[in-house]
Amino acid sequence: MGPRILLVDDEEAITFATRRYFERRALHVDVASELEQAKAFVAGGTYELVVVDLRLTGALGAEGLDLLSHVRERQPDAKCVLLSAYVSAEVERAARERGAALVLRKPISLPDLGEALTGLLPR
Amino acid sequence: MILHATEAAIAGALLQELPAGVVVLDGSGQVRYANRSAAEIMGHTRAECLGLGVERLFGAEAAAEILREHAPGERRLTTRLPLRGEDAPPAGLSIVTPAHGQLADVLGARPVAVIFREIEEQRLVEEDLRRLEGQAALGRIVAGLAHELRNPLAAIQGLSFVMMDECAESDPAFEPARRIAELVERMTRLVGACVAVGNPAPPRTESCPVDGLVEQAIESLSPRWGHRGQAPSVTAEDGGLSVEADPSQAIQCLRALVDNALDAAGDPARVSVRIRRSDRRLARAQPAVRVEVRDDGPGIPGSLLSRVFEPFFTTKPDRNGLGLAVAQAFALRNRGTLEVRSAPGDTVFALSLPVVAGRR
Repeated sequence: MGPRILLVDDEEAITFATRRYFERRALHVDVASELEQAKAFVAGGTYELVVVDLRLTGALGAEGLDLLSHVRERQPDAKCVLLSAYVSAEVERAARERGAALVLRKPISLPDLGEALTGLLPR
Repeated sequence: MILHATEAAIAGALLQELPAGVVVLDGSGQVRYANRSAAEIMGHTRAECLGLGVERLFGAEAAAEILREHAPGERRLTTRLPLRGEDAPPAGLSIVTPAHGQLADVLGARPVAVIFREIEEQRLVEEDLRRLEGQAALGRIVAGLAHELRNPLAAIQGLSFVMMDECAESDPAFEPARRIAELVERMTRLVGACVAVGNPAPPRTESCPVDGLVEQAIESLSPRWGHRGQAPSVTAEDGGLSVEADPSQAIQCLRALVDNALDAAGDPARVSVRIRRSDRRLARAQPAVRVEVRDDGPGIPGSLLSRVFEPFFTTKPDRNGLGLAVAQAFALRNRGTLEVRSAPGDTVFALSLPVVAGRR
């Protein structure tokens, strides 16, 4: 079994494509579309990588940051990546404070995302 | 007859005192009369004005508008025509073609009278802001729509990558998938630009050294000038200037100007960037730094010059017409201005941004 990734995004077609792309690269991908579901995955398994969109379905508009804190508390060894269409200096700082290893701007192509994630995985 | 002479004297005296410039041209475009205000605005004496060609006096763009086909008795109003001279403020012109009659008797066929005033900088800024506000409501709808399109576009692009990933390049499905990815890439850029024009993010201003902004904008285009002659040359007439601006928006704005200049420039491309303190002030009398991006291309016809900042206006088949619109939106949001003047072989886009007091 290859490295495990938790992918959290509320756009189903995006997670469908991303999962399929990474599964062909021998990664195990779990997909969550909202915060509580993602937390349940974190409680149930260990991940090398957690890739999360800043905005998930919810009132906050920044549920992704909440999940970053949650992951850092429970799985400090997991590398976290935050994705967002709007990467302001504030978002970047907030994400880094919560342990994000990378903050990437959407849209990002699958090959570019793949390259960024590969750099974070243990060789 | 006596009455006529009196009338003429009164009219002549009043014309001299009018706060607006009045110039009368004969049918060949030579200046036959200029009042005191006209001479002052144009920086000549009245005697110097007489006999000048309309183009020498007003510059090519205004001249083209003045000499445009006109019917006797017609009155046209133009706004914001740049006048001759590098720092001459734009002017609003009222162009009057007198009906056949007295003037034609004296000046020959087709005389034209031009009445004009300088538009103060403050009014220009207000005009820009009003236009911006007018666009804002529509802009928010467009930006909202664009935002909603982002996710589906990202998904389509992802799916096309998956298709390319899962078949060999020789597979009949590969090329269609590649083309879908390419088209989506184009749409994504368009959507990003629509958001930028319609609802630009509020600028996060800081003190930025201008030469650094210019350098980064040029650097980001290096693949372009790489095969089109030399890199744009940069001259800083006043060194060490910093502006108060959002660095990422300022770089995008400058990048659009240099990109546009490279499109227009001759072959090999000669594009230059000049940085200096501006002689003119921005809103609230704020001193400014002026960055001029100049190209040696064929120039923009006068009739098109006022439209270059309109969203989706382009003369190039492979461009979406949003580059300069985005550049102007960013300039205005950063409390600056973006202006253009153009003559064959010499087109200049000038970005002015608030200067940071003192040297860095």
